[in-house]
Amino acid sequence: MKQKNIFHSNWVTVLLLVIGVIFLSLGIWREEYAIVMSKAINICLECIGIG
Amino acid sequence: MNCYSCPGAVAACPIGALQATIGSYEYKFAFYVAGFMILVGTFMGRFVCGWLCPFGLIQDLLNKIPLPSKLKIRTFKGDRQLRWLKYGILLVFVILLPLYITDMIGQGYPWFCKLICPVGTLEGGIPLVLLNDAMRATV
Repeated sequence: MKQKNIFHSNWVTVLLLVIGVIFLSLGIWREEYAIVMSKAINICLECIGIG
Repeated sequence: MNCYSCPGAVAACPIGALQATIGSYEYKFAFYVAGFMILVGTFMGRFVCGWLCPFGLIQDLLNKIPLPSKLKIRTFKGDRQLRWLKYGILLVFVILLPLYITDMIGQGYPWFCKLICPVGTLEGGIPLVLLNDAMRATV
């Protein structure tokens, strides 16, 4: 029985995984995580409806 | 996972993180956040919506409040068309507004967090105002 190539049937999933890894690596290389972390630890009064 | 704008959040809300990166003056596309969301979505699907996001829990608990069956709405006219609204909100408030409406130094604001999302107010603003005298004075 011919074994079905899992990459052939799930090519969208594999493509998304590859894109995700590439994007994540690019983001780490550009040091975007620093912006995410620094904004996350500062409270934004407007965003919580106080300011 | 909690409102992005809170030091108490262990992991940042991805919508807030997306707006912060897109709205920063250094970057115009959020590769890190987009890549993270693509990977999490590919591996876990909507697991995060049901099992990590506290707002899903809040809505589920609200749904458990007993109501007379006459008042329970299953669907309504325009339901199918309104489902497209979320994509419009994502495009306008999460991507376009932080990208194009900026301050003097080129930084955009998290418009979705400020104008639409109730999570910050419900889980951060209200408890802080109730428990903190200094915060209460600002209201």
